[in-house]
Amino acid sequence: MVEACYMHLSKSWLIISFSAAFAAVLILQYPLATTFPIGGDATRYIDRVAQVKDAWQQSPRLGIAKLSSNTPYPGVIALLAASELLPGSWPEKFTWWVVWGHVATAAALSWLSYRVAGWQAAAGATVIWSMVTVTITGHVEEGTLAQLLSLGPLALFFSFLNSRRPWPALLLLPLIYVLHPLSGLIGLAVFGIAYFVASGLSFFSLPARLAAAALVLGSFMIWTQAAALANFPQGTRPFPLFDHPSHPFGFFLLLAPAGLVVLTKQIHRQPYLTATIFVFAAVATLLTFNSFLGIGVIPHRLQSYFVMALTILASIALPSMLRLAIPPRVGRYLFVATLFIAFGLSVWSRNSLVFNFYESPSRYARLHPDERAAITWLANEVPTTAFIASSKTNRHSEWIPILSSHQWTGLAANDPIWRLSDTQLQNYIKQSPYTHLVFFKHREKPTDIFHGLAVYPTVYENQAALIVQLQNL
Amino acid sequence: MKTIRPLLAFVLLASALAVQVEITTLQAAMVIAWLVAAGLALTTLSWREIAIPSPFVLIPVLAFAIRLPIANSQPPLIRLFFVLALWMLILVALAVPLWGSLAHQKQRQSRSARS
Repeated sequence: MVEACYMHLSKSWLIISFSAAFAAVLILQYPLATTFPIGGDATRYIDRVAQVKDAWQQSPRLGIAKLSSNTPYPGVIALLAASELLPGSWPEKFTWWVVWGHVATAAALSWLSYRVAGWQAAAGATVIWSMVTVTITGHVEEGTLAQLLSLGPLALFFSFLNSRRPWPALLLLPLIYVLHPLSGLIGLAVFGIAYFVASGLSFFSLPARLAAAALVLGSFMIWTQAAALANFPQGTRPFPLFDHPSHPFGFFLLLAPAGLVVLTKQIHRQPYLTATIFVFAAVATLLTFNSFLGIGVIPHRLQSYFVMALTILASIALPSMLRLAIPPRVGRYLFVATLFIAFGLSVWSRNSLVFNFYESPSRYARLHPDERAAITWLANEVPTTAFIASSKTNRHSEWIPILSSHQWTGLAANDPIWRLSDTQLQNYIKQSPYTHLVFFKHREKPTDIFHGLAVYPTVYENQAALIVQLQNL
Repeated sequence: MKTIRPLLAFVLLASALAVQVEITTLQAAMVIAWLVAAGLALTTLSWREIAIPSPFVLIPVLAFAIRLPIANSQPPLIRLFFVLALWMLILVALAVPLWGSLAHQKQRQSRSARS
């Protein structure tokens, strides 16, 4: 008996370890295949970290006030600020924060699936999430870092909603909210609705009261933020899987309906957890496809929740379907191993295409190596008292203050510096704080006055960048 | 009835794999996936149990079929909030009695088992 139990445990750990290794390979492909973060919002996070740091140095109270006022993601900014203590440059740290976000989400989803359907479902959830890191959720793009970091705690929160008294889970909600308010509100709404449903007809029971409080609180929070929320960008981008129907995630999407059936079998055993997953799936579906409701609010940012719901349902369905379709255990394991290896290779190859696109200097999809060399020259050769200016039409220039630590400003396309000439320009520059002007030549043509004239000497130039000194320090 | 279940699971896995090698389309496989789910539900669950997840499937389907005319002049996110709130209210109204009746049935069963 003990031996059988030991065998079962060792087998389950072996498969869990295999799935974790599988996921690690796919998740680590990002830092291994890229030399710089993908996406354009990394600099905004770092800029906010710098603002908080400056305020904190004046007084911790000011630092906290800055943290709560300059970003909707104070939790993420606090985490990033803490990571300043770690070695490495900001681009490297960003890449690893994305990796951590995926690892934490895969682990939390795995735990949630384990609580519903056992270790085989847990292994499945880990593997499925590792397949969606690039094409399906686009989470290697830093604009979604805050959301990505909130998904793990959200899944963990759901996994704790398993009893009439969900106090430990409720402690997680404020953390999720400060990481990403939308995830916090979704968590609160799902909890409220699920506990109403799972409390059955007893409206005056503790779960029903908690649910009512959660729904009132959630509605109030949305109401107070109405003005800010009104500016949300609209978009009609459909779910990306429809553009990639043969992506391995399509296989798991198709298992999701069967997951609903398997989940229904758990109602007697785990009414609250089951209701939570049902409600989350419904809410995530409505949010992701809100364009079909004629609304069209950030569907590309909401689809992560839908992918999470599908991952949970598919991971619950997969072991049951395999047991039914392939009764011999050896055949089942062989099938799963073959399937996952084929899927893994397919995902690796698809992800490589994306990473190669961003790595290729000719695509100019992110900071060009020559542009980085120019910023490194600024950092090493120009005193820190210098004030750098550049056009802000090219978002790559946002990396100047981060990689060089100089003061920097992005000039608008209608700034006088681009249209004035001779004495007027000299007077304008004298009155401005700018000491150096940077051109990133892939998108900007340096105006003649700044190229080759002795008044504004070129102090650095390569294939992609030109740096002109405007005035002496 | 139980003998059909392996066949249904096999059909589901086969059609999901068929999409991977582009033998069939995702849309066609999705129809098969829902039919298989319905078949599995019929052969695995009681009618009472089948009723339980139905609001969670019906609400999104109905929501996309019926676009509620909620003040188009409102900012999109506010509209999204109201639309979601309304559909969730309907979901609760449908799901609570089903869940409650299941719990009631369960209580009755356990009471009769004890006696």
